[in-house]
Amino acid sequence: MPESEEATVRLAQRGDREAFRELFERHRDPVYGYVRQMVRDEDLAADLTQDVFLRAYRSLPRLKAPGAFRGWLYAIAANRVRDHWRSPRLDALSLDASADDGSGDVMVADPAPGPERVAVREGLREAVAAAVEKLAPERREVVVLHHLQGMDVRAIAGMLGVAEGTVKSRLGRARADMRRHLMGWMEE
Amino acid sequence: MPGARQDSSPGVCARVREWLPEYDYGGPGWWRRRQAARHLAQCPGCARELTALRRATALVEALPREVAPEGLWDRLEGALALERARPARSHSPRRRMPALAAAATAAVLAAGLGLRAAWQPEEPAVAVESYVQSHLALSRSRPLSPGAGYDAMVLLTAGTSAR
Repeated sequence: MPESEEATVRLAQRGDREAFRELFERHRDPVYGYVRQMVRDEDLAADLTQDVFLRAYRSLPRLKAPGAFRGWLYAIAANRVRDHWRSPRLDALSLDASADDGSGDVMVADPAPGPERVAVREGLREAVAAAVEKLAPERREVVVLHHLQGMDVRAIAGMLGVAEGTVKSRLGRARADMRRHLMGWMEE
Repeated sequence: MPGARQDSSPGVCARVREWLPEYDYGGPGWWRRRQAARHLAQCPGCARELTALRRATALVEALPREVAPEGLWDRLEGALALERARPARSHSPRRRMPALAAAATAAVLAAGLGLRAAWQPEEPAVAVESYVQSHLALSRSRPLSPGAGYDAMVLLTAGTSAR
C-alpha cells in the first residue's frame, strides 16, 4: 500500500470524510469488480459494493493496522458476498448475466480483426467469463483475487483466514477447471 | 540414461500432471515441485500441458476490468448520512445500556409500588374495542350523533369505576 494511502486511512479513521471518499474512489472499481465476478449481476454488485463501503466506514475506527487497509477491505467484501450467498435470495439470475456488452479485448492475436475474428474474440471473452462463473465459489473467489485483483497467495490466505496451502490448492483446481472449460478455445 | 526413461514413462506423466495445476502457485510441496521441474525439462507433452494451464488463467487475466457504476458515491453518501443520523438517537448503545436498564427497572418498580393508583382517575382504563362496540350500539338509534360517543364513554367509565 502506498505510504500516502496509510495516511489517508488514518485521516479517515479520525472521521475525515474527504479522506474516506478518497479511499472509496481508489478502491471502488476493484471492489466492484471482485463483487461483480462473484455475483455476476450489475445491480446486485453495486448494492453489495455500497454495503461493503458502508461496513468499512462503520468499522474503520477499529482497524488497528491502517497499512492493511486493502486486504481488510477485501475481507469485508468477501464476507458480504458470502452473506449474500447464505441468504435465501440466492437465485439463478447469474446464469445469463455473463452477456454484458463490454468491449474489452481478451485476446489480441491479430492486430487487424475482421468481423469474424471480432465475433470469435467476443465469443472467447464470454466463454472465459462463463468458465469463471462455473467455478465453485471458493475457487472463483481465489481466482478473482489472485488473477484479476493481483493479490498474492499469502494475502489471500490472511484475508480468507485459511492456510496458504488451501489457497494454492484452490487456485490449482480452479486452473484445471478453467483449462477443461476452455479446451475448445485453446486447441491449436 | 535410465533416469530420463523413467521420468518420461506414462505413470510419471500422469503423476506430474496431477501436480501441474498448482505448480505456478508454489505447490504442491518442494519435493514434488522438484520432480515436476525435472520431468518438465524433458517431457514436451507435460510442458505443453503446463502451457495450456497457464493460458487458461492468462485468459482470465485478460478479461476487461469492471468499472463501478456512476453515482455509487452519492448512494453511499446518502447511506452514510443516515448512518450519522442514527447514532444521535441511540449513541454508544453498549455504554448506555446499564443506565437505561437501571432507569427502566426503576420505572417498573415505581409503577408497581403505587404510582399506578395515582394515575388511574385521570386515565380510566377504557378498552378501545369496548368503546367502539358501545358507540356502535348506542348510535344505531342516533347515527353520527356526538352524544352517542359521550354516552358510550360515560357508560364504560362508570362500569370501570364500579369494578
